[in-house]
Amino acid sequence: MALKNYRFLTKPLKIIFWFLIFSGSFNLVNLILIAFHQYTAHLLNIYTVIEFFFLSLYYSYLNVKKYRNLMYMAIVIFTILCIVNYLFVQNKIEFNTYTRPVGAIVIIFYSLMYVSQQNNEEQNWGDNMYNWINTGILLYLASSLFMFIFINYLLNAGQHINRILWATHDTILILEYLLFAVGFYKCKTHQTISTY
Amino acid sequence: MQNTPDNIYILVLLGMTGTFLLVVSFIFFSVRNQNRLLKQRQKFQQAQIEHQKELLGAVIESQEAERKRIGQDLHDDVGTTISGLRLLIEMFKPTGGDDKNYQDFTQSTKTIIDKIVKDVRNISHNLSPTTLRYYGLAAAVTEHCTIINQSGKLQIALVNNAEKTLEELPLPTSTALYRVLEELLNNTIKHSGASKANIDFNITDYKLYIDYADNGKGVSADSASVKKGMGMQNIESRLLNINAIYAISPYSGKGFSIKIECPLA
Repeated sequence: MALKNYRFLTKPLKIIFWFLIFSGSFNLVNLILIAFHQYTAHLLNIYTVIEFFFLSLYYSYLNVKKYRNLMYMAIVIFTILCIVNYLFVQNKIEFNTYTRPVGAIVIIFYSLMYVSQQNNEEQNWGDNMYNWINTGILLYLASSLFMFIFINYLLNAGQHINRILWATHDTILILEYLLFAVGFYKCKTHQTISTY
Repeated sequence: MQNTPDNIYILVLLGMTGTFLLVVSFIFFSVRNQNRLLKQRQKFQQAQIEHQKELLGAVIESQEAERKRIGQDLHDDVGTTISGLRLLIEMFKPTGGDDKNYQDFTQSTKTIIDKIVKDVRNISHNLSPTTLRYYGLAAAVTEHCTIINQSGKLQIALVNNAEKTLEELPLPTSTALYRVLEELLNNTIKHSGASKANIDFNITDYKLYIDYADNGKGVSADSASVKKGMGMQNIESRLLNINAIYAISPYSGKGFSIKIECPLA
C-alpha cells in the first residue's frame, strides 16, 4: 500500500515506510541466522536502537515543534544507554529487557502526547492518516510491553507456552501493520481531497 | 519471584491482554470524543450560518419594503404632483397668450415635465416592479428585457422552459432571482461590452436552473474584482438567502456565463 502510494506519502509516513523496510529486512536476516543455528538475541539491541530512532523521528514531526530537540536528545541518550546495557549489563545470551521496555514506554508517551494534541482537531478521526499509524504503534508497544519485560523468563518456558505468547504477539503485530496499511491508504485519499 | 506459586507465563499473557483492552478502549473513547466534538462544532457552525442567513433575510426584506415604499411614494406623490403641474401650465392662458415666446416656453416645459414623469415612472418601477408582484418572474424579466432591447444597448434572448413554475414561485424567491438577473444585465451593459445576452429558464427534478450568458469580454471567476465587487456580493447574498447556488464558467477570454440552481421545495 505504501509503495503504491509512495509519491503521496508525507515525510512522517515516509519514515514509517522506511522503518517497515528496515524491520522486514532485519527479520529476514534474523530468520537466516536462526536457520544457521546462530544466537540472535544480541541483534535485538541494534533493532531496539534503530526502532527507537525511526519512531522518535516520526513523532518529532507530529508532536509540538518545541519538543523536537528534546526528542533528538532522547534518541542520543537512549542509544548510549543501549550500548552501555549491551556492553556492561545484559551482555550474555539474553534479551535487552532493560532498554527495550524503556524505549517502548518513551514511544508510548510520545504517542499519548500525540493523542492529547489530536483531541482538539476539527477533523473526523478516521480521515486523519496519522491517527491510524499512531493507533497501530500504541496498540503494539503497549500490549507487548509485558512481553518485552518478561521475555528472558520466556526463554526457559516450554514450547507450548512460547507458541501461545508469540502467536499473541504476532497477532498484535499483524493488527499494527493492518492499521499502518489503512494509514497509507488514507494518505492517498487525503491528498486527492486537498488538490481540489 | 520464582518461589511464588503463580505461573509467570499466564501473568504475562494476562498483562498483555489487559493492556491491549485498555489501549483499545482508550482509542475508542478518544475517537468517540473527537467525533462528538466535531459534530458539536459542525452543529454550532450550522446554527451560526442559519442565524446569519436569517439576518441577511431580514436585511433584504426590509430593503425590499423600503424600495417598495419609495417607489410607491415617487409614483403616487411626485408623479401626481408633476402631472398636476403639467395640467396647470396647459390651462394657464395669460393675456397675449398667442405670443410665440410663450408658446415655445409652454411646449418646452411640457416636454421636460413629460420626461420627468417618464423617469419617475421608470425609477419607481425599478425600485418596486409591480409586474413581478402581479404577473410573476417571467413577465417582469420579459418587461425588463424589452426595455433594454428597445434602448438598443443589448439584445437579450429569453428562453422560458419553466413557465408554470415561474408563475408559482413565492414572491421572496422571484424577487431575489429578478434582482440577480437585473444585476447581471447591469454588469453586462456596464462592463462587458457585449452585444448579445441569453437567459434560459429550465426545470429539472424540482430545481429551477437559470443559465445566463453574454458575448462580452468575460471575467475570471476567481478574480479579485468579481469577488470584491458589490454586484457579485449582492448576487451571492440574494442567492444564499433563497438557498440557491451558482457557478461561473471558467474564464476563456470570451463571454461571461453563470448557472444558477434554485431549489423549489
